[in-house]
Amino acid sequence: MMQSHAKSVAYIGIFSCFGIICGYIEMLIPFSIGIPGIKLGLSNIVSMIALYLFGGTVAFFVTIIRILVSQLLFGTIYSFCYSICGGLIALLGMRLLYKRESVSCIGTSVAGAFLHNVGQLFTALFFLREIRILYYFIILTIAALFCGMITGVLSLLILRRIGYDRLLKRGSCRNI
Amino acid sequence: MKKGDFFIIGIIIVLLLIPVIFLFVNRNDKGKVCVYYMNELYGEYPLDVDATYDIVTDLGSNTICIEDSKVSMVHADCPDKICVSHNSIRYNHEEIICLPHKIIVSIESDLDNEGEYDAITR
Repeated sequence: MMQSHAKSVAYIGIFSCFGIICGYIEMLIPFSIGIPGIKLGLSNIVSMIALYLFGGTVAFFVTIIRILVSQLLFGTIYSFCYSICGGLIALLGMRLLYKRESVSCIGTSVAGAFLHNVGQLFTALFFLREIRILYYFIILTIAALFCGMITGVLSLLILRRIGYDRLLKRGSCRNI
Repeated sequence: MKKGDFFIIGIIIVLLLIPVIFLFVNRNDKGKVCVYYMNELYGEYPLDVDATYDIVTDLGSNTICIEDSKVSMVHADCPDKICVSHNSIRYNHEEIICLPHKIIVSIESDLDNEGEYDAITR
């Protein structure tokens, strides 16, 4: 769908900014229930919309840049490793799923949230080498289900509002 | 919501329920507090004696408090203090982890048999 390289670069820049701001908003919302590492995942909305509108390559760069910058601004080296692993694996899964007819935004979003946790779990296993972290994973997955559905509904609404349905009728975009 | 969405959510729930059932069947609150530093046993403390222990290592210091059969991390000099804000733990398999100091405080029960874990990555 992208016609020119300059357009791609501009959109990557804009969406990366959206992603960074989403990360900042998440920090302001007190979402703590005594268990570390549970986030609302609002920045996945940005990756997903970039994926649906522009495809895998743009979404890939958006994800990398927003994780890099927001971790430089707000994160530690540990949180950076967790975020980059989780974000890339989530993007890979969403990229495989978003083209399928039977899966809507909500499904890809839930899969993305789940895979984000899987990526973080592998990073934690790499650092700590203890299989008992798997028990912590249970709570994270339940949270991923709920937050994934919330972010999926939000991306669906946003895509509808920006007129994605009209582009769909012209046949130039994926169904949501 | 389409058919594929339910499929994905179903797969995730199934993947989730297996360790959940496994955990709740094996849950009890008679155990001891084991502290691991760099994956080696640092110390074992009984759960029924109220006490406070300092864990001082090359990476930093943490302080755990055992009170009323619950363990919590009351102080740590790591930069993020995630371990301090963790809820107190009392059942076996529960853990408080301080990642920068590589400390795992876990509750282990003698009623578990070692055959429970198929593998522990090292």
